[in-house]
Amino acid sequence: MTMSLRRFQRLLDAHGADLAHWPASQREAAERLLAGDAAAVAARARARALDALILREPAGSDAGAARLVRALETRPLPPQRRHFLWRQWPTELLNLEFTPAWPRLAALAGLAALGFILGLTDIAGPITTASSGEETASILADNDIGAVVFAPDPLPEARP
Amino acid sequence: MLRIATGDEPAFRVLARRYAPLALRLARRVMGSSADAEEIVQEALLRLWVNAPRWRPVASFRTWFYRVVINLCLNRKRRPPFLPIEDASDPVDPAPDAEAGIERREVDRALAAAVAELPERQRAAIALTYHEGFSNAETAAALGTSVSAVETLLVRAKRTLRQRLGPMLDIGTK
Repeated sequence: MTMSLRRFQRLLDAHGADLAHWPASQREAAERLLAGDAAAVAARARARALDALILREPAGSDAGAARLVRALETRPLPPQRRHFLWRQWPTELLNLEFTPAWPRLAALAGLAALGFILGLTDIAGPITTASSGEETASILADNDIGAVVFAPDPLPEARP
Repeated sequence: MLRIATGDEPAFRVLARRYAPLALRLARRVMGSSADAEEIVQEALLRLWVNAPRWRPVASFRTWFYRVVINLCLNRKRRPPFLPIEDASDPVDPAPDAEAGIERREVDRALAAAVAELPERQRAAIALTYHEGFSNAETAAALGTSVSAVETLLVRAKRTLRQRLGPMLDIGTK
C-alpha cells in the first residue's frame, strides 16, 4: 500500500516525527515513502524541528506549587461528601456498569417493543362516535377520557 | 485514594504535594496564566478531597485528575495575557555567547505567542502529549473525547504552529 505525502504529513502531525510512535500498520508505508520522496524527508525534518521546539517551551517555576500546597496545609479542609445510597440512587443507577452492554440494549429494545404492542392494542375498547347529546353522555359513562378527547363533538350542551 | 476516601487528611496532603506541581504545570500551559492555574489546581484538589468517598477507579488516577483540571480550565473564561515569558524560568543554554542567548529567547517568545493563539483544547492536547508524555489514547481519556478527535486537535494545532513558526523551523532543519 502506498502513502500519499498529504497522509504522511497528517500522520506526522498526529503522532510526531518519530516513526516508533506511529501505528504499526502505517510505519512500513511511511518508510517506503521516505526512501523515495525528498519532500517527505523534508516534511519529517520540519516535523522533528517543530517537536523539538514545542518540547522547549518553558513550564514556569515551581514556586506556585509550593505556595498552593502550603495554603492547603494551613487551611481546614471542607467536609467530604459521604455516600448515602438513599440520596444518591439516581446517580448510582446511572453509574452501574453492566458488562457486556447487550443486556441493557436488550432491555431497552424489549421495552420499546412492549410500548409498540400496547400502542396497537385497543385496551380501552372501540371509540364510538356520537351524533347527539344523549349518545355523548352514554359514551362518557361507558368509555374513558379518550372518548371525550377524540369524539367529534363531545359536549354540545356546554355551548351557549 | 482509598485512604483519602475514609477522611485521611495526611494522605490527602501527601497526594497534593505529589500532584500539585504536575497539575499546575498542565493548567499553566492550558490557561496561559500562573494565577488562574493556581486557583484551578487548588479547586481541583479540594474537589478531589470532597468527592473522594465517591471516587471509582475506572481510569488511572492521573488521567482522572488531569481530566478534572482540564475541565476546570476549559470552563473558566480565559484572562489575557498568556504566560509572560519574563516570569518563566530560562531554559538551560549551553551556548557561550550572548547572541545565541538572545536568539534563543526570541524563539521562546515567538513559540509562547504562537501557542497562546491556539484554542484551549488544542493547547491541552499539545501539553498532554508533549509535556506530560501521554499517548493519544490517554490524552483522549483525559480530554473526555475520542482518539481521532485528539489527532484532529494535534493536526490543527501543529498546522497553525508551522504557519506561525515557519522560518524558525527552516533554521532548525539546516
